[in-house]
Amino acid sequence: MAKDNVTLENLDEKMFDAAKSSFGNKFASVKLYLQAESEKLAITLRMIIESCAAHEISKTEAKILLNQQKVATSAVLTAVEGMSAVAVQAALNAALKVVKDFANSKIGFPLL
Amino acid sequence: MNRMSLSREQVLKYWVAMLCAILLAGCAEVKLSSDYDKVTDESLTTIQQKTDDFIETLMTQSTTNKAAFSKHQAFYSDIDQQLRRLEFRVNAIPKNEKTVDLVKKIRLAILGEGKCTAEGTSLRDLHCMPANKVKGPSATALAICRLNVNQTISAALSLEVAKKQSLGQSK
Repeated sequence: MAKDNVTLENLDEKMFDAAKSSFGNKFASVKLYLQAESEKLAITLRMIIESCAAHEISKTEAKILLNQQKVATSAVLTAVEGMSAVAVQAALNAALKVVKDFANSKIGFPLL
Repeated sequence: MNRMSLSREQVLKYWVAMLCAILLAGCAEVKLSSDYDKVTDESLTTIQQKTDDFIETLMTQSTTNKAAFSKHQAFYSDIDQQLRRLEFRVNAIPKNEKTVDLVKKIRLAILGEGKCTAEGTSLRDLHCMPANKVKGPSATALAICRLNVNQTISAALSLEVAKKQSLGQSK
């Protein structure tokens, strides 16, 4: 799709479009992931508070569970960072592919 | 108007020349993150299933002597071994810092540092703390612990899936 009608004049636009399309799709997935995980974190936090108030768990258990939840929160944020890097990588490569396809089609054989 | 279009053309030529140079130099692909690793994916799934099954068993045994910390050493040793293997694997993969970090967090959530106090962060800390050592943690505490552990492992799995999807798209 990206190499359709690519010319020297519109190469930059096609590169931008390819990158935007790739990043847009992935960024939406990352956003959805973060939203879903934030909801889970809120539910777990509520469970810890309510269970402690109802004496279903001891104070020490509650503290350990809160510390463990901090680890889970940090893991979610690390995963989001990693997913964002994957999205940026895909966007840059999508833009570079436009140039690669364009150059190969002009040369007449797959040089790149 | 002419100056504008000339300037745009110059910029465009500069970009094309620069990109071609980069591509010809062998940088046809930008690499910011490691590729998907099937072994990591499978190891994470195994650790998640084993831990989930263990917590489920412990919940049914809660408040009985069967849930004693001393009776479940095999599980902790097994998970420790699985995590060491996984740590070795993920450390050997270039540009894999995020996954390395996530595996460290999984260790913290399941095994922790063996503090067995309120300073602890893990399932093992919950199990080996003095009040729970003999009859295990309460079922409610275990249910919450399971949510935390699953969310931590799921973060690492989600990142691997994102890498896999990206790999599928670039082909």
